[in-house]
Amino acid sequence: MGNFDYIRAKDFDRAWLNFELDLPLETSADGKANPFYITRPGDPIDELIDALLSPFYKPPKFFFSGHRGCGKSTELLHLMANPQIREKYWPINFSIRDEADIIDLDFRDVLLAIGGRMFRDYRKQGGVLPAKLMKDLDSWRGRVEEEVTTVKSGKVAGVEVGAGLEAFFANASMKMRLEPTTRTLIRQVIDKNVTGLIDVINSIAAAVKLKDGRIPLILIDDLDKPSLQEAKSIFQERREIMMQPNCAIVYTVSSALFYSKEFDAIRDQALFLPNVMLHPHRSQDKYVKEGYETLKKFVSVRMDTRLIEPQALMQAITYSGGVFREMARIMRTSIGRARRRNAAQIEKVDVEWAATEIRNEYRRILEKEDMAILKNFHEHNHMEYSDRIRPLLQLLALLEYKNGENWFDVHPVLKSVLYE
Amino acid sequence: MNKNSNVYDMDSVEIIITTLREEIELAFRWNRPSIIFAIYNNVTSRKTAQTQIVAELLKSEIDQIIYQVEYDINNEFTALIERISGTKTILSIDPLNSGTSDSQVEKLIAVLDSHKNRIIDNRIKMIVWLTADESILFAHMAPDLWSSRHRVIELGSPSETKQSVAIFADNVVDEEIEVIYNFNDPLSSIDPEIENHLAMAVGAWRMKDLTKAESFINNAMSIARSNKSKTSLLVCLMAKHFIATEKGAKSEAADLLKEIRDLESSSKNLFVKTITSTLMSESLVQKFPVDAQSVIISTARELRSQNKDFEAIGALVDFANGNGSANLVWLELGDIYAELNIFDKAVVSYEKITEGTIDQNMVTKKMADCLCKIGEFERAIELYKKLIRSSTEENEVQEAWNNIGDIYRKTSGFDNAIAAYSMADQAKTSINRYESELNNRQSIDSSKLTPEMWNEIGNIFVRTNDLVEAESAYSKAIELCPDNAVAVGNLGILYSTLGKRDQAMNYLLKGIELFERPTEKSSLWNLVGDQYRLIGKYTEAITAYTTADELVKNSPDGNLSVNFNQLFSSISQSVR
Repeated sequence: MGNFDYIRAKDFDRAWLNFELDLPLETSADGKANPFYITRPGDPIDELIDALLSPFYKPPKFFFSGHRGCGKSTELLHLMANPQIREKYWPINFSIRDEADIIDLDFRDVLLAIGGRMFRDYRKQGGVLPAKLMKDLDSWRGRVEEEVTTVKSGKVAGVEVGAGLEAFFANASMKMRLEPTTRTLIRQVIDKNVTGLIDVINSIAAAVKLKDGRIPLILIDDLDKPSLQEAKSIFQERREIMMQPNCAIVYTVSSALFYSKEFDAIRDQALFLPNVMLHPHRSQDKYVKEGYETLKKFVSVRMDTRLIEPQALMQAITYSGGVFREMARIMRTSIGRARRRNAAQIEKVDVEWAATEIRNEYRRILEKEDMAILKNFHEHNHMEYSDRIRPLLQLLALLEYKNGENWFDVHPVLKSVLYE
Repeated sequence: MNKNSNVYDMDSVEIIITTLREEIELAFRWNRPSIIFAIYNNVTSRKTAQTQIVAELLKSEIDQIIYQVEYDINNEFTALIERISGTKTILSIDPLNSGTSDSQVEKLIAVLDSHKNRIIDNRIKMIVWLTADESILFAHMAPDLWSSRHRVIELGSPSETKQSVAIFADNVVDEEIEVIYNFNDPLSSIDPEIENHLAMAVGAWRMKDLTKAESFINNAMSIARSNKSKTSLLVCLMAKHFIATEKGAKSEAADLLKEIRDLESSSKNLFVKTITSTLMSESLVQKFPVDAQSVIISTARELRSQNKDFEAIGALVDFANGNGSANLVWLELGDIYAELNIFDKAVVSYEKITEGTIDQNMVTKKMADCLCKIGEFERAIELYKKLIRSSTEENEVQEAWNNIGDIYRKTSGFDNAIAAYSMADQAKTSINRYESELNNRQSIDSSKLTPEMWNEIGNIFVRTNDLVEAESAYSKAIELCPDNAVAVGNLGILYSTLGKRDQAMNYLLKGIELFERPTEKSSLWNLVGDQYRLIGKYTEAITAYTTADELVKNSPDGNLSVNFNQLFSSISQSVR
């Protein structure tokens, strides 16, 4: 993240910056929550924190799901900074995108990522692992490199074993992500001895625990991005293996997987982060005050609210559909418009303009069939997962909400075009 | 959808461009990423818009470089991101063959999607140019990246845009804006025969023979013309242009450049926009290695990567037979034959290697190993002995002795094997000493053996993979002297290898008590750790490893004891 200053904006220029779509909310050096972080209704993340802080026999594994753009990554970052979590766990957080190709993801890729990141991050923080373990890891590395020559990190005489292993894990992760051929080869090697890889992970985890005094907690983001089929292949077909590592893990999973029948057995280990509900189910004319207050707070921590007309703010919140990312998009686009008008405040006309722009963006990429599905959902709010609606969910053309039961509605900016 | 409205009730193109400029300016000002999709109806409107955008960006007084990248394999894109990160650079991207039935947009989507985090983390500002159909595909294939968009601009028909005479590429050249072109994709699609000629051309160029290089390029061009492959012809023209530049033939170079431009503009499918010959040469010579032997070896390896082993062999044999100095090629042939388990031919190839720059000991060893594979043990032994005489590397000598020992063991020459292994232990290089040992060998009276002798016998049995006998020998040593730390440790190690965990732990822990030196205790603690790991007791394992580390931390001798090191390698070899 570098040197980003989380300062409340007093002008449009700064406000434009603060409403960046993928702005990660890093915690401060003293462990305090990010100034832009807001607690969402019901504080659902507390449930996960409580579960992690509860006593256990074997380090727990949890599944973390939520709607697109709802702030899962932000919550994982926030979890990392929780003082009680940090006291009990040695947490690391990474995106699987950085370690593997999410378009072609496999359970072996995830396991290798877990081991590799744990090793690299521990070393980066100055951790020292026992010499024998390092030697064994090096032998394991040698066996992999023997069969997959393209991940050779270079055995130069005099290079410290640890540095060589770091290079290997970094190299393997890059190759897994970028080179399909190497990815296939590495998977084949791991296949011959998955137990060996689990042993590597468990050995590193045990060493970290003994040396550091805390249990490793691995938070893996973006595991909700692969296809449902791939996700099932990892978390259902290979569930036993994915539960084997001797460290606490929070796996992100897509909402499609979360709500699939096959996931029933492990739903008690899962937490779902919903979008902020702005209207009750089938009651568009009613407002959920808590939802609107939450989004208002989202804006007010980032920007002086005198920069936006109250009605315009309400309208922007309505158009956001309760999705933080879309709120940021609307605000940013509105700010751009207001700047160009040399206005002192964002007005309704700016918000409408932003909504039109977003609407047009969707018009460009949605096909007739997509629009038909959206119309159906708008009329019935009915939930039935199918492959066809998955891209609509991913594109945020269709939004999910949770209110006891789960229901869908169309992105608010699209409602006016459904009947064109 | 009402597509008849004026660009969906949006502003004019001028305002779109201005909006875009502001977005990019803010992104630069705050050093934030900016992901913009520009959707266009036709190539002319795209080129016009690109020109306008360039002009708008220049107005903002930022010193900018626009890269029009034809994407490539992932590694190249990663390197590109890293290169432009932190610079005042817009990345302008479109798919190969954009807007045609051969649009490579899917490949582009895959590259960009897999780099999403990297693009954002490196705060890249990029404009992705897509047709309407391509944008639909993009959004559906990479919804996550699409959702991370900052802006989408839509360019209307040519009548709605300001007409501009100069096309983007010409503007680039005139304005001295650098255009980077990446060549690997086209090179990978070239006919292998053409590629071979280009490889030879590069080899000739490396050897400063420009005439020969030009001749190879002309051969490649003939094939390209007869195949009617514009892509290949273009690559050949560029290579020829490069050689012409090298020769200082300016007029020829200029003519070739014109031919290149004509070929570009005449074909809608061509990927080339504008290139520099330097870049072309860098790409080509990076692809092909240094000298003639390396060229042919590289060609052979390319063929092998396509599972054309015997074609590769054919190419190497032809070269080697036609060239006096081909040691590298003979070595490569030998290695290929060995890999394919055609050991007799491997030997023949290795034999052809003459004295020169190649390590003769390495060749001797390879030959000996191959001879072992085909049962020519006598010849193999002679070669191992030759190696022992000439080598100055202790490891090499030991290995050769061990190999001799293995041969004798296979052929039931047990005594010879023991003798050879003993020589290995001492890394003796004297063949005479070995032969005199054999001659003086006497039978042993077991009742007079000391515990130390029983221990050594155990070690030898381990090397010959007679582990039951080894267990018996060590046990005998311990029976005679229960406090013999070495024998106790050895038996513990043996049991750990045999998977007899309880017995292993028992003897290892006892060995730890008996040994006085920290290094030896440490070695055994590591083995104890291994036993714990095997039964999933990771905490106990790490505790054991940590204890091992602590013992040697302050010890003057931090290395494993020689005995254990040798025993480890013996056991591991014997059980393989």
